[in-house]
Amino acid sequence: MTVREAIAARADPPGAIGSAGLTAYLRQIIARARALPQGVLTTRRFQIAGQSMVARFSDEARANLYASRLPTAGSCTARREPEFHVDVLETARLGWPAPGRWHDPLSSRDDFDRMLERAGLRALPPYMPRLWEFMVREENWAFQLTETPLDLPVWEAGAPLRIPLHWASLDRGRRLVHGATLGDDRAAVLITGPGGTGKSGLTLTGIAHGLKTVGDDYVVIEPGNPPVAWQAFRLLKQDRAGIARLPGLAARVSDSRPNWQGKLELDPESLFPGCMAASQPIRAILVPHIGAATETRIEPIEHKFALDALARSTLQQFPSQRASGFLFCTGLSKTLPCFGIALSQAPGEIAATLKRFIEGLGT
Amino acid sequence: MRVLSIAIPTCVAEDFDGEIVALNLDTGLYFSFPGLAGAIWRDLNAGHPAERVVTELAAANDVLGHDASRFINSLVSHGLLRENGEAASVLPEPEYRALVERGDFDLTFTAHDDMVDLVMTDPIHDVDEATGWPVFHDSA
Repeated sequence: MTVREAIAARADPPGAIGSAGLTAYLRQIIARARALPQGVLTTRRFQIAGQSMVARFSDEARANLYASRLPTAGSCTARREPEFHVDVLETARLGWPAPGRWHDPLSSRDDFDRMLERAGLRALPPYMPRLWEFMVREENWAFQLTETPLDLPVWEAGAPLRIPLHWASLDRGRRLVHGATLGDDRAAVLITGPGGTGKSGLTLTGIAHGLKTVGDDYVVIEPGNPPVAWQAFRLLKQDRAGIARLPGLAARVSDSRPNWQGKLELDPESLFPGCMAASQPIRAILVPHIGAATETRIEPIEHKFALDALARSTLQQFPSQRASGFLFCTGLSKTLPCFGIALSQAPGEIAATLKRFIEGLGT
Repeated sequence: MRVLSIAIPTCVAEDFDGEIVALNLDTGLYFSFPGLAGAIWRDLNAGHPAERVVTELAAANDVLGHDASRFINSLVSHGLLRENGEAASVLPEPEYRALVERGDFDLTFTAHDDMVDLVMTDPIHDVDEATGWPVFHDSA
């Protein structure tokens, strides 16, 4: 008997959700949410990539936190698209039973996705106990269910509702990617690469010297000629070492506490008013690496290196529809000129080099 | 005669201004077919039988015919195309014909394995030998 067969032979833990009961369980949550009396949930409205999003929260404090970090309605021209809805529900606040725990050791990821697709649903694989994120595709309605906010992954507050935003973008031919932008209203670069390569530091340096951004961690990309990057989150993240490189900034953020990565989560508009753009046309991909160079150098690279930088972190963080994600990233890396940027240690010099480069990009 | 088409759902592919990029989701390998290779890909998927393509290319150039045969067989062996057994009654003019007539015999294509780990593994809920799938990350 294999290990998996031995696990399957054991009785399921009480309250466990397996393949047989999954869709019924999710439908039960949906029905409970729909039956909530008016006024129980706090509503906030956002606008991301021109699409209206209506979020309902069982916790007003969380509603206010997310409202400070997501683009609000009116930040860009609304499209004529169906609204996207997301219910952010905590069972402890609503007096509901605690979220069921997934337990189906013989189920594969493909089986999980196919089963839900047949039921018109989409769900994040339940890799965290007491966290369910799923959506009713036909209704553009997503749900995030926890017992308390402690059940959320540590990165959630820094990119709230990232998974529902990803789904909302997918269904409109757009995609949330792991990357940053810098530029102006005429031209911007998409900065991409895994964590630790300098995306956030480069973005902060750029906006401190007059450039604009739509984000330093996740942005919505809309394919086109040129592709357009849209703001998804209204915050920047940077560690104290990176902040210290910009004169006078450390004193302005001394009260901020670091997040799980040791980074401060900052409101960029409060530090550099006017630095956040709703959208930017992307004219090039930039893959940074931090070095000991005396001067910043920007040089062409083969598209496959940009593809690797873009696809690797994007697909790891948004594993659903991995195939279409790969082709999406491939398209971007082939459509746009790709460059590597070797960063010096001097923010002013970095910003000046980047500004000259962006000014030279075609329209 | 073999009529081939894209091996859905194993293979996904897209046309980027004439260059075909195809990904095998089972192996994680992806392939780039520019120029004549991309044209043959599109012609095969349009319903042109494989043998007819090879015969016509061999008539233009012996080496090209040999290369085309190997190319088409590799599309099948790499799980990108499969036989669908349906011959189209009306076929469009094959793209390769115009390229070959102007002397383009370059059947170069590239295979890439740098995305294998990304495509094949499931970093969120890899199976744990002791506990099965999914692997829980307790937040308590």
